[in-house]
Amino acid sequence: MSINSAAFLLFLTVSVIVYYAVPKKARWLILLAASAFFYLSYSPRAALCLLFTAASVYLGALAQGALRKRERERSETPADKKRWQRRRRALLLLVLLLNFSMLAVFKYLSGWIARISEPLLPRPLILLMPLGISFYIFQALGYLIDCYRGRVAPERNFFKFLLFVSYFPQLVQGPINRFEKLHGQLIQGNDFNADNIRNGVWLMLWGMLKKILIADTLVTPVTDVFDNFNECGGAVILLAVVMYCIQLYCDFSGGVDLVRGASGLFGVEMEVNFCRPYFARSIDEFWRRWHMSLGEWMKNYLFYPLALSKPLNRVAKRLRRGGGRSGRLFVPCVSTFIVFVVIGIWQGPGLANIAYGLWNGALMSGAMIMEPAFAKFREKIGRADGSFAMRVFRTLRTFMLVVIGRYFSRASSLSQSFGMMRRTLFSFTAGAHPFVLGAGSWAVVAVSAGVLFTVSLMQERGVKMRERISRAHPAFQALLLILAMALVFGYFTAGFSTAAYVYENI
Amino acid sequence: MDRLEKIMTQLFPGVDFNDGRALIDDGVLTSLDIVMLVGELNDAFSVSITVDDLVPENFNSLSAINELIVRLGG
Repeated sequence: MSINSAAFLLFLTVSVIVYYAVPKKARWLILLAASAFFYLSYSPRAALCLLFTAASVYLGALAQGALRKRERERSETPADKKRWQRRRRALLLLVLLLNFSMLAVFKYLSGWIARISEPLLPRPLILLMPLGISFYIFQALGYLIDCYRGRVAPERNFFKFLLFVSYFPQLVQGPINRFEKLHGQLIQGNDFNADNIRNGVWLMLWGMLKKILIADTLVTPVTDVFDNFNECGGAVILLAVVMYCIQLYCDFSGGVDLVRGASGLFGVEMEVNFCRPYFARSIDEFWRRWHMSLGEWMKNYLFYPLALSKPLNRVAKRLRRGGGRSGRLFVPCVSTFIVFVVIGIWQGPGLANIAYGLWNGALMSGAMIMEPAFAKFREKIGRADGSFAMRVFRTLRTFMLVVIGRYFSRASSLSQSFGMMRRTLFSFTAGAHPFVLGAGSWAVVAVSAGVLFTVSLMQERGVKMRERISRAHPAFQALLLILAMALVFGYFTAGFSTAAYVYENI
Repeated sequence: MDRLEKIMTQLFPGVDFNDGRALIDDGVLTSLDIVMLVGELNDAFSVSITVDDLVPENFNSLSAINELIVRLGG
């Protein structure tokens, strides 16, 4: 069941009605049943992977709690304490390894398994990527690490924990929620609140319109250029990559708006995942606005442990003794680089994804290393530094750096990435193969992107759009609602179906 | 506390640490800044700040950072 379908809207409506109809104590069971129905309707086999993650992390967390208790009660000397800590760490690593291995098998070994099994079995063994596997594994393992660190107490009821892992709005493409923020909201049984329903519906409609009107309209022409880049001129390639940036943002953030809105109908607020990333004025800021829940996860569970690891800090300490900035910058630069390479590898197999990670790691580290030069430049231009023109320049510069990164992340191979870059730089013509988008579709994209840009600009200036709409004249609210609903339902009743979300199978 | 303030001013020139903003929650310092700061604090006060200490409450203000250092024996 796609979340951008009439069937999902029907399923969601029934779930919301039943949720508020049953007693508060039983409401979490409705969420669990709805999540089970949603995932099983997608694939019963894929549900086994989800169950494996939930069960292994549940048991791992309980064991962490038990070992921590023994550590407190039975450690008489520092050596005893260390022994218990070693046991806890070994157990943590085992559960991490089991789950990341499962992810790696689906992500990187499925093609290889199909090839190996072809001559051995009547039919080749094809492993389909389970829906949202990365997201629920990251979320569950984040909880496990928090239990290991003693930041959260392990949940003792397996079904309550299963709901945290399998809560259906987050299953398609996140966001990656934190246990301490989400779990209580799922379990407590929320009261009906008309504001939650109104806000949820607006957010869902907004997300659906971003996906339907912009992202899906751009899929075909962008794919066409990437598939036939050898026949395209550099100008067309650049246009396609810029359009891909817009498509990806509307696809991913639209999908997340939709599921956050759906979750809001139950009174459950999920993590924010985007904060108008294309308004960022530096690449560092871009990554704090794009896929924010993954960024938080990477920061807490990979970047900080790396940055505080003994081997890196031993080298940094030696460098700091020599004075200068190298000692100060060594740890953040190396850790950032590693984190971005991991993000690149997570995006999928292939060198282009690693190049994407290296590109972003180099930009982030480069910015840290070059900071004194940037500071001098800012001092030199004085008051002009804060001017509107400089702000626009920085925003456009950051956007162009993101565009260059997309040559890597969207291409199917590194040679394609470089081939497309070569044509953009050295053959900047219209070429024989145009960017095929009809006049009507151009108009739809232009008007929708114009509305999106205006709304984003207002939000950047602190306007809370849904509050502003709720204060508007009732006739205006009704008109806006009818227009948005007519577009969405008109789309479904006309028999269209949406393209799969880009991050759905990652 | 003076020593801490000196380190902070050297590392982050131009940042006013007493303007009432929470250093982490209000986005004054990023995770990259925190990592740089931790290295300096470990050296200067002979402490060992671990991942478990990296929570906003410990880094939101100069006094919170100072308390953390004192707690760790610095």
